[in-house]
Amino acid sequence: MSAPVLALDNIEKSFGALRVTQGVSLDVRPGEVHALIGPNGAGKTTLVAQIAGALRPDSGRIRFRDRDVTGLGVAARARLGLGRVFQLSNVVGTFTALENVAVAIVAAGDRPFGPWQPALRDPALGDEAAAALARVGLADRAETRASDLSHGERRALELAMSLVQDPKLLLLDEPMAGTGRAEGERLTELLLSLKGRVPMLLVEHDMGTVFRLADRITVLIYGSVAVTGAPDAVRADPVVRKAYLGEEEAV
Amino acid sequence: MAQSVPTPRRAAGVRLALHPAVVGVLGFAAALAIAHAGGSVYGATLVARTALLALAAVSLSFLIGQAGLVSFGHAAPLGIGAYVVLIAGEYGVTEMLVVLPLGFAAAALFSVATGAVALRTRGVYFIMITLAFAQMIYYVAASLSAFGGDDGMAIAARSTLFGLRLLKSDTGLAMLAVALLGLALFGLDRLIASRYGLMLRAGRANEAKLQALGLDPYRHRLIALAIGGGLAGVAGVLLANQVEYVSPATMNWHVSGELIVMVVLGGTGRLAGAVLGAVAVTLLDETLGHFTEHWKLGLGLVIVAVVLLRGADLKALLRGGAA
Repeated sequence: MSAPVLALDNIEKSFGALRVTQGVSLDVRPGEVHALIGPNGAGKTTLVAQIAGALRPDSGRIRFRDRDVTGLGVAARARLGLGRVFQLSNVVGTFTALENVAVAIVAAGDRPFGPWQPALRDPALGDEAAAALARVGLADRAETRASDLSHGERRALELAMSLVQDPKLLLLDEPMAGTGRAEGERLTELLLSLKGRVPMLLVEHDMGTVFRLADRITVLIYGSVAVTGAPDAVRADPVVRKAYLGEEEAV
Repeated sequence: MAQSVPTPRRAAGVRLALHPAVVGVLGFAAALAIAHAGGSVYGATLVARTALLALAAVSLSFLIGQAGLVSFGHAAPLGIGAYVVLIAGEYGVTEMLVVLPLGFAAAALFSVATGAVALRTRGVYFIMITLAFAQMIYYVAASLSAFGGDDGMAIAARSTLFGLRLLKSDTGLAMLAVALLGLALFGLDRLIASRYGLMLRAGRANEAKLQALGLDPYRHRLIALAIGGGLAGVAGVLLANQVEYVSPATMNWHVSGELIVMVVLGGTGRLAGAVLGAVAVTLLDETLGHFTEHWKLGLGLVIVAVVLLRGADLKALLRGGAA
């Protein structure tokens, strides 16, 4: 087994007396989809913020691609290849879909300062952006303002913006939240098509999606890891059933 | 962000002819020609003054509308440009080709130095800290007793151009101001559409996302402050030549406020809006100002109306026709 892409080692984070993250250790292996689930208030969002670099853990180490990134900020981690899809779709609303992807390309590229040539009249940039949109099924929405896209389309756009940066890990924060049934299905298909190529850490409430996508599942309860394992093992785990899935059948 | 959207169906020539820089320059040139034909010195003065204020407003509009940096201290680089003319003149340097780059550089340097600190803040704090820096330089200027102190002083002579006294008349000065305004509009428009501009605008609209995409827009913003401040300095060089007098009052926060009014009045979305705003404020000043000292009360009402009416519906309505 090769080294994990992402490894959290004993992460701790408190807000005042509230220990939101309690000694969390988990890793994401190459090619793997690792799902992070847990009831509301389990500390998933706080953990995601620490992985992304928006929050510093109080103690513990975060390694990404064999580098200690604990002290790095959001932009630096993104440059190392950490792609992020936000819980609330996060795109530039006033830009078109194509411009949004162009932003992603330029931001990750080595020429973010080109001051004279109009960016979008650069055929290389335009073609690359258009191809990325086509890959997520948004080819005919390229000139639509992002704020006029449907919720699911914005999610797909965010994914396109991440993919165009050739991420080494995708951090997906509840991608299914707020999407309709058909849109959610399309998005799941899209993620399935990426599976094996890009490792993903998937934070998700929708159990159907989790069990279809995940190779391993970590259950977070009250800020600490209750169990990590294969989907079947997690599904059968009595602690998880009691705390999270309730009495009803999991899926 | 209408500037950045290319319109491929339009021929390049048509696009250039409709460029706000070209339209603006032609408009000012026509006004100047009319004034000249009528033999009106006052007309040329008015055109020069409006064009240089428009240049200052455009540089501020670039900061507010494109970079999202609401500076409440834009009078400072304007005043620095003016003081460069005064101080250089006292040392016998009056050539525009020297004074103009010097004014740009001094104002840009001030903007970068203060911006490096101010950019660590956001929102209201950024507004306040830029105001504070501008007030500091205001009091520094007021303490320069060798250069008039509180009262300011007259410049030694108007700047020469290529060693010739082309700017002695307000017509010559107006031509230079209009040309520089056109250049600024054209150059900034290119800049906004470029990769650099794309990052700048994305950072304004959604900084968190840009960070998550791997780009911290700090340096982009610092460069924007240098450019915006430098252009205000250029406007200040022109202002000192037009008034032939420089005083700390140029750096007063009233002036910063008036520039913001011009930008807001014309709309922050496009640079050309600031030109319209500058024209509107100057003309209101010149017309209403003759009737009553309290003309700014009327201006205030106009601003309230503009801001209130800029609702979503009206905007959508206008987008079809105007944008």
